[in-house]
Amino acid sequence: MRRYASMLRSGLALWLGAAGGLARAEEPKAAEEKPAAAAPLSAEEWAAQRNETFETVWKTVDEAYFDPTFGGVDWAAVREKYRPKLEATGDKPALRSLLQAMLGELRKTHFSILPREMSVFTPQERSRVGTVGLGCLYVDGPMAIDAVDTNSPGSLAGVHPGDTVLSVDGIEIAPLLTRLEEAGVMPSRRGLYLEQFLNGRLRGPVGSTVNLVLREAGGTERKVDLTRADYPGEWSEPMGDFPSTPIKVEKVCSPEGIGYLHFNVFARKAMKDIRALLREVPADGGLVIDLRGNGGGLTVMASGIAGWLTDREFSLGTMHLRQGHLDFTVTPQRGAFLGPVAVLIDSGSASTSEIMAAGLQEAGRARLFGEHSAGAALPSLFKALPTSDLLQYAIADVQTPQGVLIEGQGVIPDETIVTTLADLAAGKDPVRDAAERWVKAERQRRATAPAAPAK
Amino acid sequence: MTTLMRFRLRRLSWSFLGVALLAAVAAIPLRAEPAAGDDPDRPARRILQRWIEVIGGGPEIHALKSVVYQCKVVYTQNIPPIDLTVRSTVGGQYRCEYQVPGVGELVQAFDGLVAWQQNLALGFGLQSPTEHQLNRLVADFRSPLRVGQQYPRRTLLPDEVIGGVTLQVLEMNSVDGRREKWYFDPKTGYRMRIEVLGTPQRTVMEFADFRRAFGAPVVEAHLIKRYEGEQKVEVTVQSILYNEAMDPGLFTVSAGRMQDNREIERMLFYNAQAMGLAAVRQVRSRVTEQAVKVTTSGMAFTSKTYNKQPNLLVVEQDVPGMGPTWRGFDGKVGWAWSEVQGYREMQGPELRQILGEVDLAGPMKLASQCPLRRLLGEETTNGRTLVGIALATPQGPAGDFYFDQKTFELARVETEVQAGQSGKLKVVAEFSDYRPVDGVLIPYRTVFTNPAMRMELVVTSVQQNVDIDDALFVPKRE
Repeated sequence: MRRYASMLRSGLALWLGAAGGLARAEEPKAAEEKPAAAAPLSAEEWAAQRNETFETVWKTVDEAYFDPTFGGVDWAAVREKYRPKLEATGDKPALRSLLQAMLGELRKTHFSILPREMSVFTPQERSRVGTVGLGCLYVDGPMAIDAVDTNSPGSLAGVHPGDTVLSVDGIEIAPLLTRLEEAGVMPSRRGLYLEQFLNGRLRGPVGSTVNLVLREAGGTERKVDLTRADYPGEWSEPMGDFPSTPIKVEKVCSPEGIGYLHFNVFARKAMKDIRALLREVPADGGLVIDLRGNGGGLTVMASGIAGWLTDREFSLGTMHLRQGHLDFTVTPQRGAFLGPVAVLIDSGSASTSEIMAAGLQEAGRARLFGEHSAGAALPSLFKALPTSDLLQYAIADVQTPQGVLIEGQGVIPDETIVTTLADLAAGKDPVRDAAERWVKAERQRRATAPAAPAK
Repeated sequence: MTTLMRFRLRRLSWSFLGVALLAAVAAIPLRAEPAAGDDPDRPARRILQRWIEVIGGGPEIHALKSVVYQCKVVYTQNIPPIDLTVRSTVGGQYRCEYQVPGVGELVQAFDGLVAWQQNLALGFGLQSPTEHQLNRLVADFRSPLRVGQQYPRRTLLPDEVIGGVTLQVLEMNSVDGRREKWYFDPKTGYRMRIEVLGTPQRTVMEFADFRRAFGAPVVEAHLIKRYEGEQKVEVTVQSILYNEAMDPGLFTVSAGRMQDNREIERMLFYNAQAMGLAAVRQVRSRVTEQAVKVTTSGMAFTSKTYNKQPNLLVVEQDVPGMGPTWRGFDGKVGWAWSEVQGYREMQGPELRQILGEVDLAGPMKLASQCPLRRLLGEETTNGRTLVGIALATPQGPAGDFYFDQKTFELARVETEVQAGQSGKLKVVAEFSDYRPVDGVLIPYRTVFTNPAMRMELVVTSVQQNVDIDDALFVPKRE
C-alpha cells in the first residue's frame, strides 16, 4: 500500500486551479463548428451520446464534489430538474448550455464545459486559439485595454492602453455588468467574469476577426476589426485532459537589484524562467511578483515558487477533498531569495494565484498590493466527455493556514491601489510603482537595521 | 501527534517503564556474609542492602501480593501526555492500560497463559515476545528479590558528584550483558540515578520524590525522568496501591476473540507464504516499470522503481505537465524532487511511508507490522469469497484488508494514505493479476480510487537481482 501512496499523490498533484487562464476561446456558434472529420451522428447516436454525457457530468460531480452536503444544493434534485430538458438539446452547443446551467446550480467556480473544438492539445491545434495581442482589465466599471503587445493586431490597429471596450462582436459590456451587479456578484468576481468573457471573445481561430467598439482616452468612439494571429510565444504542455495554454513570462532585474516577475499561468514551462530570475536577484535586492491577470494553473507550483522565497518551512494552505486533505507545504530551497517580496494582485488573479498570494501574506513573507482578487480558488480536474468536450470540475476547497476560505471571498491586499483609466492611458502602473517603492524602502530599512545579536 | 511520534512514544514508554519501575523496587538477595577481606562484592552489597532497607526491606517486598500503579507520562517533544495504569499480581498476571490521545485505550495483558493486547476500536491481537517480556519487567513488583541473580557482578566505583551532590556509584553487570551505573545518595540510601552503558545514545534515568506507597510499608520514587539522546520522558507516579484485591477477569481474554485471532493469524500466515516470503529474501534488487493512467483526468505516464536491498529506493516518473520527478531513500534520507516543487527531505509519516516502500518484503510482514486486528467477515466479490480483516498498529488503523479465501492473495485494501508532507487521502486499492516473478507474487494491476480520482497502474516489466549502481540512489537536486 505504501508503495503506491506517493504515486497516488502524483495522480492528484495536477489539480489545476485555472479559473481564467485557460486558452479557451468563447464558445463557437453552432454554425461555426467544424468537428474534425467526425462522421455526423444519427439521431439515435446523438441521443445516446447526449444522455451519456449528461450522466457523466452529473455523476462525476456527484462523486467528486468536495462537500458531501453540496453546500445545501440538492444535487439529486438538480439532476431531475435538468434531465427532462435533455431531449430538447439538438446539438453540442445546446447541450453545453444545459450542462453549464446545471453546473451553475452549485454556484461555485471551476465547474464548466469547454468545447473540445476550441481547446488545444497539439501544436497543430494552436491555430484554434489566435490572439489580437490585447489585455483587458476591469477598472471599477468599464472594461479597459491594459496591455497591447508590440506588433500585434491590436497594436497595428492603433489600440492603446486606457481605451475602454464598449462592445465586442456587437455585445455591449455595460448591460453585462449591470446583470452581474443585479445578480449580487461581488465586485472582484464581476471583474473576473467580465475579463474571462472579453478574453474569450478576443481569442478565436487564427485568421478570424473580432469587432471591438472602443472609446479612446479623449472620448472618441471608434470601431476596429482585428484579425486574430498566432500566439508568438510558448505554450504549456497539456496535462491529460487539461489543455495547453499560451505562456507569457516577463522577468527583469533592474541594475539596482529589484526583480520584477510577471507570468500569466502556473505552468511547468514558466518555472525555468521564474527560477532564473529568483537566482538573478541579489541577496540584498528586492522582488516584485506580479500575479495580476494570472488565472492560476498547476497548483503545486505555488509551493514550489514559495520555496525559493524562504528559509523556513510553512504552509500556503490546505485543500480539503471529500475524503482527505492535502497541504501546500513550502519547503525552503537552497539559495532561496530572502529579501523583501511584494505581490501584485487584481480581480484577474484567481485560483493558484490567490493561494500563493494569501499563503505568502499570512506567512508574513510578502506584502500584497493592488485590488481584491477574484475569490475563485477551487482545485479542479479536467475530464473528457463522450462528446469530446471537457468537463472542468472542482475536487477540493482551499483554506489558508488561518482558516480563511478563498473561494467566494478572495484575497485582500495589504495596500489597495486602484488602477484608473487615466493611469492606463498615461502608461502608468501605480500598483507596480507602489510595490517597488515599498521594496526599495524595505531593502533600505533592512540594510540600516542593527544586526541581530549573535546567538 | 504524528504516527511516527506515536510510535516513538510507545517504544519509549515501554523501555522506560520496564527499567524505571523495576529499578524502583529492586532488592538484593541476602547471603551469608563472608569475611570482609575475602569478599570484593561486599562494599557494593552493603550499599544495595541499605537501599533495600530504606525502601521498605526484603520481607515487606516479599509480602507484596498485587500492585496498581497510576502514572502520567510526559514527553518534552510535541507529544500529548499519556495516562498509564499498571495492574499486576504475584502470580505474574498483568494488565497495562494506556490512554493514548487520539487512539483511545490500549490494553496489554497477560492471564498467565496468553499475552494479549486490545484497543476497542482497532482490534485484538497477541503481544510479541519482546513486548511481553518488557511488560513482565514492568509488572514484576517483586523483582527486587531477584536483582542478585539479574546483576551477579557488581563493582564499587569512585564517588561522583552529580548536580552538586556526591553519590556512591556501582557498576552493575546483568546476566544478559547489560552494563549500568547505579548512583546512591549516601545520606538517604536511595538510588538516585541509573546510567546505561554501552548504548549508542546516552541513556540516563533519575529518581526523585520518594514517598511511601499505599497498602504496604514500601517507599518508591514518584518522579522518574529518562533521558535518551535528545529525548526526555518524565513519569509522574500519581499513586501506588499494594495488596488490593484483583478481579481475575481483568487479565483474561474471551474464547471468541482467540478464535478470531487464530483465523486471522492463519490468513496472514498463508498470505505471506503465498506472496513468496521465502523467495523475497533472495531478492537483492528489483526494477519495476509501470504504466499509470489517471482516468479521472485523462493523464497517462510511466513510473520506474529501483529497489536495492537493504534500504535503497528511487522512483522515477515523467508526469505530463510536471516533467520528470524523483523520490527515494538513499539509506539515510527520504527525499523528493520535481521541477515545479524543488527538492525536499521527508520527515515524519511521509518518511515512514517511504521506508515501507524500501523493504521488498514489507507487504509480507502484515502480521508483525499490524498486531491489532478485527475480523470483518466474508464477502463475495466477482465470484470470489474475500475475508476482511481490519489491521492496525497501536498507533492507529492500517486499513481494512480483504484476502481471497482460496488463494490468500490480497485483493483489496481500504485505507488512508499519507499524501505529501502532511496530507491524508482515503483510498480503496484493488490488486489483481498476480504473477510470480522468481517465486515472488506481484500484483500486475492495481487500481486506486478516491472520490476525487481513479488511477490504474499496470506493471509492464519486473527485473530482479539486476546490478544497480549505488549512484542512482543519490538524492537529485536539479
